[in-house]
Amino acid sequence: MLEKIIKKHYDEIFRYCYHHVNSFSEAEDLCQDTFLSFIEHYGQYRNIGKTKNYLYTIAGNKCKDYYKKQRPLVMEVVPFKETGERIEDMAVLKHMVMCLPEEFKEAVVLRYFQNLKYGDMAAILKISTSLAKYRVKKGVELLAEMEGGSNGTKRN
Amino acid sequence: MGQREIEKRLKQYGALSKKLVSREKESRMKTLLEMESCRKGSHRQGCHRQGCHRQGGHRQGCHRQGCLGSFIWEQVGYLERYCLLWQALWLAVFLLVMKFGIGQYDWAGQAEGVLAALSLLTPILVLITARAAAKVYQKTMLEIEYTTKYSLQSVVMIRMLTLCLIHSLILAAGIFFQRVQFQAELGKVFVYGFTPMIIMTGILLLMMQYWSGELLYGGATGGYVLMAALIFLGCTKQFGWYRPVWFKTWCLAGAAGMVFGIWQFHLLYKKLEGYEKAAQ
Repeated sequence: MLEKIIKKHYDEIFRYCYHHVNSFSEAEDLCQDTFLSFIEHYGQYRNIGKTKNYLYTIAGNKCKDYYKKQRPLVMEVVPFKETGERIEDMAVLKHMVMCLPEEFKEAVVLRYFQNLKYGDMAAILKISTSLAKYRVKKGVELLAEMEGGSNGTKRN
Repeated sequence: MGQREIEKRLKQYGALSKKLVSREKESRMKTLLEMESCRKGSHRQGCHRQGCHRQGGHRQGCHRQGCLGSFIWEQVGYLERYCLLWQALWLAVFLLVMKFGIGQYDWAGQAEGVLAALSLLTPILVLITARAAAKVYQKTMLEIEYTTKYSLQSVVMIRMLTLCLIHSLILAAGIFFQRVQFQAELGKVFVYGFTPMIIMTGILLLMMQYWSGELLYGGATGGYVLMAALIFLGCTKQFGWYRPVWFKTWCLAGAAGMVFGIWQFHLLYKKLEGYEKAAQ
């Protein structure tokens, strides 16, 4: 059963870690640490929710620990070359999201990058569903302001 | 650029990022599983289980800790605090209604009005805990339940039984310690109070076999509204279900509700057992 859980959620947790640290190698390490913690502590887990949310909680804590060590953020090239998308725009957008205040950044990442429902977000972040919605909305507003500010700077 | 455009781009990025895959996924997963196997082996060698109760044969990966009593106590601890608060408020309202009656409403006589209010109030106890019950039972919990300590069956059953016990104690305390102003006998108050609650509980257990989460809570709310409508109907002159002539019918309905509830409890138990076997 554990194998099924790992296989089912590995990619998702990896992407979550990647969105936080922007480095493949660091994201792989964080993802591995997440599942290691899960394996070590699932015997003590108090069964009050979804497995996925529990894994996200562990991964979120690992990412926070990573930031505390003040490791420099490495901006890797967004690996979407084969799609023909506007790579620069995506990289700029990602950078803007990373510049958001922590609570709004987390909400935007979980909602738009991880495509989680508000209920799951609320469970992971340990907040109410309405607060989760507010943080997402505010995060998008802040991004729009940042975008507007940068456009104004370019014109000048 | 507006917020809608930002949202659109965020969603695009999210969709694109689904293609991101760890380059060392297979090797790292293999490492994790090897570590888990090593950990299980060392755990079994040094493990001393005392007072553990198990259902069926050996379950691989299940770590039982502590005795049955501590397990039950732990499950009781999962009752959400707000749920208990609402139950305390319910008890206060219940005592007020019983003490002062609802004389201002002419529902074919004051005694019948109080009994109807009692019938309306008791299923609210079930509705208060329907949301907690909806969270108790989610199919996605099966994974974590199976890989952690206890069977899904044990967890769900203990929590439901705890909720039922608390409700029964609250209602019994309210009835036995409150003076009934009118001529209705204590037994009648008991019947008119417990019957709707028992039927509502049976309906909730039935819905839990098919629904979970918000859908379950919505269904429970709908069930209560329907029951409230029937109770209001019972107060009208055309139906008059609170007249003494219908008392035996109420007793039969209560008994049938009890049988129905127990049967649904049994079916839910079997269904959870089926989930676990499928997962194995």
